[in-house]
Amino acid sequence: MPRDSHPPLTCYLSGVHSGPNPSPGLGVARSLREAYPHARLVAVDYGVESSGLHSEVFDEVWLQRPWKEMRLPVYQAAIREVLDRGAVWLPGQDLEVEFVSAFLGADDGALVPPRESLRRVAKPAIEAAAALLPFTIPPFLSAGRADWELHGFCREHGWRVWVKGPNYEAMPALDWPSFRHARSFLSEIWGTESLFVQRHVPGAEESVAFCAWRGELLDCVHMRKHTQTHEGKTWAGAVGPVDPAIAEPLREVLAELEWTGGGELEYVRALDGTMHLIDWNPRFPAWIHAASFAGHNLPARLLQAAGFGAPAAAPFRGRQFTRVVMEIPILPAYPLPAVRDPVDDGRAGSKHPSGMPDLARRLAETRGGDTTPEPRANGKKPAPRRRPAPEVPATLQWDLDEALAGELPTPRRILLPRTARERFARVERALAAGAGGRVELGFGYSVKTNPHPSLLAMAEASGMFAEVISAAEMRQALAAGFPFERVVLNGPAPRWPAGPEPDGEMVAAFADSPQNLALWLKEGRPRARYLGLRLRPATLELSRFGASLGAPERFAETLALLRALPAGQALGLHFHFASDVLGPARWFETFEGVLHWAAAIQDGVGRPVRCLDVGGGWFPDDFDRELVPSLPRMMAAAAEALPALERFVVEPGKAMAQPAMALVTTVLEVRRARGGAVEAVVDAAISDLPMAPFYPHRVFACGRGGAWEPLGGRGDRLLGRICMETDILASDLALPDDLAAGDRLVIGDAGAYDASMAYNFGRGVLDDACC
Amino acid sequence: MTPAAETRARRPHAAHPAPAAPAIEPGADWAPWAACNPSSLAHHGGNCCTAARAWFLAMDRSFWQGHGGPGWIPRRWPWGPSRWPLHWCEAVRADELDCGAHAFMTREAFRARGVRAVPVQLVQRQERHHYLHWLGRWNGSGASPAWAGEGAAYHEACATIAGGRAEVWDASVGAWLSPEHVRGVRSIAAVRIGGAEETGEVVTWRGVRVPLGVWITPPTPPEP
Ligand SMILES: [Zn+2]
Repeated sequence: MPRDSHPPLTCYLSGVHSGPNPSPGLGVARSLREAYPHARLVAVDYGVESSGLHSEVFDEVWLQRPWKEMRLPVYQAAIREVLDRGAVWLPGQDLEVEFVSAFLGADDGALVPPRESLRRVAKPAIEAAAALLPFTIPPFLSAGRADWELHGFCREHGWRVWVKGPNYEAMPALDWPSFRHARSFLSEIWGTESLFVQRHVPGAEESVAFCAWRGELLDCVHMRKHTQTHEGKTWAGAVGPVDPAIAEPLREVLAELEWTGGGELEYVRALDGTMHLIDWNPRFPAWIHAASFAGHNLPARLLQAAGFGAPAAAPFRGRQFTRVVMEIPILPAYPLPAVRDPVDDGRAGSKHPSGMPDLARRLAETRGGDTTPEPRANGKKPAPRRRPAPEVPATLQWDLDEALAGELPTPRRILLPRTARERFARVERALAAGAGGRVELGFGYSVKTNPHPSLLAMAEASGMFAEVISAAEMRQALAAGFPFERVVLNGPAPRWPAGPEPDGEMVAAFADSPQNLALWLKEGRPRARYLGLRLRPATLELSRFGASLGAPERFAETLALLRALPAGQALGLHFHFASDVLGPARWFETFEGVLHWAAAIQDGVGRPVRCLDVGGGWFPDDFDRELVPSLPRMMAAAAEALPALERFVVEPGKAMAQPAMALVTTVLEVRRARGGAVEAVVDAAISDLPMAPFYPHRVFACGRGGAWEPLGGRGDRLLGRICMETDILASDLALPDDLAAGDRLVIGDAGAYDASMAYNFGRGVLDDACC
Repeated sequence: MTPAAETRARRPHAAHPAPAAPAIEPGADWAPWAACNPSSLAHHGGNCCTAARAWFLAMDRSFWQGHGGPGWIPRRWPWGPSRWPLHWCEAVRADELDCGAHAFMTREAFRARGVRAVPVQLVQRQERHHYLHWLGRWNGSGASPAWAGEGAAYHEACATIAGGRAEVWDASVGAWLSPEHVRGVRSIAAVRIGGAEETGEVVTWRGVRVPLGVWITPPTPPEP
């Protein structure tokens, strides 16, 4: 209807919850009340727990049925009726914006962007921003991809990643168990397909709030967060002008999107000044009233454009703002719901007072083509979609086909010879490429990771050193053919159990602590070409290993000890931390820091560092793609920091053995659960695969053609044979539909600590002698 | 990118640079502060201080991620009384350090990273009644409370300079300061960026042109 006559303003504002994670309705209402003192402001929400509907800023409350039980056509008709009477509708929830946009538009008085524009600003790609706005989108991956790929993504970004819902909610994934927890927690609410994992960008959180009318940018403000809640929500901040480098392209993008309504760009300004867009919200932010008292009343500007006359002027009251907590009386017409029985779950129901997860499901149904889906209070969820299988190298498949051609008692761990040889061939090639320089390159095979004689023999034949952490391991390595001159000794108890050492001189020995080194100096040190200490870098203070460098006193003691080394003894230093925990990028950063420590130590000791030994815990893919190609750069940096360096030793850790063995198991029983998920009980157990929870293992089943094929993901579980709640070998598999008792399955990537740390639980025997 | 370069990315060049802020005469109540030189740690000339400094710089390299200020310094040594003269070997073992030690060590860290860094001295407005707290705490530790006044206090910080642009790092707080902060508690009543050796050079600090080596008062930004 024409608004030239400045009709009395009636505005319906939804999303009025005001808590630690507030919706914008209350702030929009306060801004509109200032600008249009006589307007009729109606609070709309979908649960009586939405606290702001009790605020005196509203003239009226229009409480709806919860989204999960609402009949959508009835609600659409009700909204249309109020709009036909000349009111405007300003939604305060992203999903409600989508709902309103899908069924009503700006022409009807609903201040929302077109539905297609919403699609173009949807997370995580935020497609409309990518071309024109000066932001990058942090790397992301759909949580619907193969576990193997997702684990690789998390490692690549150093486990500084978030698992995020499509509209709301994010949980940090600090390791594989927390990733899986976040994925299953959030997919309960939002469904796995719409989740994604995104790199965390450290930096200052800022945002730009704007309002537009039919594609015309009306006004915008910048906000920098000063303090945040535990959930990362704004608590205090400062409002200011928007950098033209953002405002001008934003104007163009909004024109292209024909945007109507409020909006907010949330981004991170990284330490290097680059800006990373996290979210484009199709509604005003909850702090919007702070912009109003800083002189930019965006909600009023929007309603003025919509034809409601000039807003009343309000004085400037400051650019900085903070939130406060205050009690307000409950409206008698909307009393609090009864206190929940604490026996049930006293905390339930507070996280999404406006019922957004329910609306998300309803909207997913409308996107699927059903425009008038009936409510289903029981919330029947669609079956999870199948995630793809990981790609596997031909050598691995060849190994499996050959090893599993005949009968094999199970559970049985098998060596995959081609795969193993391929791992050691990589080391041989890297050694050949690194030969001939001033600094000699070496690789240490981690005996503790897998002391299988065949793997030790391959390591020896490929020219590796044997990296041992005890006298027992040393004897094992010598028995496998390693000469004493190719042994590297370290660990917290390197000489356990006591016994004679062979003649000659090992490559290197590193004490795990200054106390250990002092004992060596007092009671006889190992005969080693290079002798020294394992360092604990300052950024890894929580590690239990190595000499702490985080206190100046310890540093001074370390220098004093190393000064006491006999004159002819060449000095070596050692740094070891699992790269799949840190991620390769942070591991390389830590390595750079270690070079500075090594240089400081050689200056302080007055003796050059001649050997540097670095490792470990490399995930095989990262070793191949990140570490090996970086070796020339790393060695050059080490040679520059330590001019007398002779020897550079790399410890790849599990990168050698992990894919080289697999665990073959037989299905004992197949159970089909109520949502369609399959659970297979097998004759292997967590005691055969102790690393099962900590990284994804590729699982293979025999396909129709007789070839062993990797399985994708869905939600099926592989349960072990023993009486332990934690005996779950895999949780997110897509098991074959025709899987039956007696079928064999193969669990790959079981050659590292799965092999060396396997235990005897549930076999009726004890591992150690007991008297 | 250096912090100064960050500013460059954020703020487009003014077409016509404003004249540099004029040098000011210190008021009688803070003239002794204006006469101070920026603090610096002493060195015993032996292993004790050499190792302490080497340890400090290796620590800084461990925490540095290629950008930003050394925020680990005030986290490790919270702000508190220091007794001067203070040597390297004493500073690294201290439980807390004052702003002079923070600012000096931060300068050393920036320089070791290859970033040009100069001292910053400030007079900040403070609540009048805070004076007695500071007086008691510093006297009780045998440190000099001469930096504290009634309604104002002397403070030291550190500036990085690149491409004619300065950024001021408050090494005791772990935050970049803005010249717009000229009202209220902790606001800047006067500031000197750079020591005597930098005199004659003019830099831009978030849009304010500042002559190095002299005391100035940043201009009050207009209300919108
Ligand atoms: Zn000293």
